Amino acid sequence: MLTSWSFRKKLIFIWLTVQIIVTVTTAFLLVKLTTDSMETDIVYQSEQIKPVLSSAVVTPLIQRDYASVIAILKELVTSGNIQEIIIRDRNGNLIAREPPEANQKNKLNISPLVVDFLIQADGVNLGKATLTISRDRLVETRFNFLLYSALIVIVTLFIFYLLALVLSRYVTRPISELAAIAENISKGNFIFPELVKRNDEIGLLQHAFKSMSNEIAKQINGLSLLNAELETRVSERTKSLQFARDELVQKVEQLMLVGAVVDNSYFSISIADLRLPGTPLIYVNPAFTRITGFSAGEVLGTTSRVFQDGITDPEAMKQIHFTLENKLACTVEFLDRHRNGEDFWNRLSIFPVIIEENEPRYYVIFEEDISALKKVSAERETLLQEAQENQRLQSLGILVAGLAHEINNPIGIAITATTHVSQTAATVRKNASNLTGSALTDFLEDEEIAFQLIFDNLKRASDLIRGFKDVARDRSLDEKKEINLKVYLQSIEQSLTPVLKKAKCALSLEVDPSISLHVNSGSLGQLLTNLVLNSTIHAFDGLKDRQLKISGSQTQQYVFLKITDNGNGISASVLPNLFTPFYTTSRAKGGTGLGLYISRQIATEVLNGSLSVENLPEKGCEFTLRLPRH
Amino acid sequence: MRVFILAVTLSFFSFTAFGQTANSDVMIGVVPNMSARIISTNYQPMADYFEKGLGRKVAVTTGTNFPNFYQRALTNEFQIMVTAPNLARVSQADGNWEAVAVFEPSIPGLLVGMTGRQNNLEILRGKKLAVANPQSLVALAGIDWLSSQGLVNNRDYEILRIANDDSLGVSLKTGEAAFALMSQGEFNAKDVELKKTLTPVNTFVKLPGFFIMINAKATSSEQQKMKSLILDFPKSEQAKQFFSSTGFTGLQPPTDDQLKFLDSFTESTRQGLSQAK
Repeated sequence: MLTSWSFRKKLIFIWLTVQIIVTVTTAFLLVKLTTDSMETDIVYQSEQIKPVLSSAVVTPLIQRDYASVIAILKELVTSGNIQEIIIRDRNGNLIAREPPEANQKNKLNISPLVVDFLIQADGVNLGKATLTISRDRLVETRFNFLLYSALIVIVTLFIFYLLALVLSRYVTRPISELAAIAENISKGNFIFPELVKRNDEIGLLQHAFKSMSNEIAKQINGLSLLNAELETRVSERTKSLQFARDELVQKVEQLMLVGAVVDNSYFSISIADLRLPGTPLIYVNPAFTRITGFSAGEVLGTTSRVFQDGITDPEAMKQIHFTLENKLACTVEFLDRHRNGEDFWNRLSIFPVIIEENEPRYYVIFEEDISALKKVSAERETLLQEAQENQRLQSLGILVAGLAHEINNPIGIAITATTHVSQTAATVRKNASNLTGSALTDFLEDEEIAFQLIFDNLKRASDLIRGFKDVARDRSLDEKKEINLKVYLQSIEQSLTPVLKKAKCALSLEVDPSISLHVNSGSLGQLLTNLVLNSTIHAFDGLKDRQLKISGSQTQQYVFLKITDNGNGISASVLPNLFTPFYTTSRAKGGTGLGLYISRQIATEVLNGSLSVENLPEKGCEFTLRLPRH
Repeated sequence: MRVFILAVTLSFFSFTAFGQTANSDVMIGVVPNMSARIISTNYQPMADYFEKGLGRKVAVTTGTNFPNFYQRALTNEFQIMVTAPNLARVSQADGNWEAVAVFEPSIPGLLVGMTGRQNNLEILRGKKLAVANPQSLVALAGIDWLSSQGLVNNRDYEILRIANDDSLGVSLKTGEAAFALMSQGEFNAKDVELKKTLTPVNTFVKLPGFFIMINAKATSSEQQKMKSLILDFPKSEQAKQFFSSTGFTGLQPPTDDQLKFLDSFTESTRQGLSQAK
């Protein structure tokens, strides 16, 4: 019911209710306090009267002067609230009573306070007094108090009711106006009418209300903008969430994929948790069981042998120790033993996994049975060695063939010249008798020329052989020795002359004569021969102008040799695989795909250098061999 | 006021209060030579003694003054009475009282002055003599002795009537009176501090002690029993306390000399009692 009342009604109701409660409570408390106080006074009065009465009547009682006793009682009764005093002797006989007749004034029928006490003089009992103290005044006072309180309450209530009416009118009217304005505001009408100006709290409220109305209008506009912005943000956020969700789904799929991959991996994968005591294994994939022979149930929760010196190979274990101590990763290969007792080659890799921390949280252990690979690798190694030897012999064979061809001409010329000399000499001997001086001179000049020709060609043959011998000896001994680069390259050039001639290819040298280096000369010769032969075979298909150039330069630490051709260059698809073993584009021509592979092996492993290749901008390509000077 | 009330109610006395006394208690009336409270306290051992001996309740009472006490004695309100010797002699003569014994020692009558002062009798001249009860034998004997010393009442000095003997010392202390007349017993009963300020100037007479009397209205057997109890009282336990507080030392039957000596005060006693009335 109260909720349906107007504010004015509520204000008056609450005002009056509070007023009634406060007034009635105050009146009640005052009556209570007054009653208590008066009751205390009555008791106090009785206590005060007792010694006075005793003291006053002791002497007349001893003297049996009862008239004095009565006079004293009369005096006492006329003062205060004493209603009646009765004095009896020690035998209970009435001595005096004042007033003589019982007081019938007690209209209100309120029991008086009756106090009995002995009257004694120094321990001698003289009698007993009965003191009756009226509570009439208390009752009258209380009644009057209540009466006046009620009157005050009624008057106060009436005054306060009037005040409440005035106050509520004064307060509620502007509030009603403000309520109407608020209702308009709630309907979106922010026009604030002109109100009577006031300087009190209501005026402040009106002012505040007006400010609030303006502010609400402003805020609503702001909210509209904010809402639009919010919708945009929500849309963006939704997209972002959608994207995040997709990303999450993708991640989950990736994780599932990774999980599937890990589970189905050919490699043994096991994971050890470094945070748990004993760094136990928390995951092993099926490949683990296949490779080691131990099931997941047997090893999960146990410490991996990696962490407890369980690798039988001391070198591998040492490397693992170092890796674990330094929180690094490593891969070791060692001869391991399967649970069934069979030995196998294990390639074991361990690496730490750090997840949002600085310290590794897990160690992942990869294991792979590389027994077959080891076997193939060994066989491959053997094959490669054989191929390398074959290639060496092949290049030597080419050199020998070229040499044979080269030697053939001077030897042939020498033989022809010798034959000519022999035939000329026979003719001269046959015509010796008819030999003229001029004929002899002609014969001798002819002979001199023939011998010179024989000598030159034989010397040439001899030089060729000696040069081949040096090359062949270098290739076979492959000793490390100090060489002058230019001189050495010239000998190489000489050994290659037949091959170059056959390939119709011109080789030029651009080398600083001061360059020298300490090197395995045989391997260097083989490497350069390979590169030159490779160029003559592959670089110039369809080209007539075939130029090769070997240039040499040096720095403080290295010597650089560049073999440049003006050929077709190397196609982009081939270039990355150029040094891959057995990769060849001319298998039909008898290419094995090992030439450049072996060349790089020699450059890196024998000569401790490097070999690279690149196409030149205009045409051709360039091999760069970098060699340490010492 | 008090006197007025007493006067007005005196007539009412016989109808109310006096009537109330008709009970079975044996009353010992004690002459009001001291305050009623002190009398009640001092004579309580004697009341206890008689209560035990008679097998009845015994109460101690006194009068508001000598005439009142005397009147009550004449109306046989008491069965046993302890009174001053002159009153005892008058009561014996005018009422139904028989003197059984006299308390020892005899009562010295004292003229009392202030301590630390030159207590020459001449300082009384033109001043007042404090007396608690002019009808008392001590007062009568004292006034006679002062006359013999040349100081006549109402000529050389005035009598200052003090309401009770407790206030006699106080009147000296406040300077209202130059001297006071009191018995040795009254002097002894004074407050210790007050007593220090008082000095007995002269013991002008040795009076017989208080008389203890019985009412002749009682039956002869009761009289005999009371007499024997009175005479045996000094032997009782209660007597020790009684003697200690009152200063009495014993009891003796009255002698003829004592009675003869008292006869000389009979008329003046009667006169004093009638004037006070």
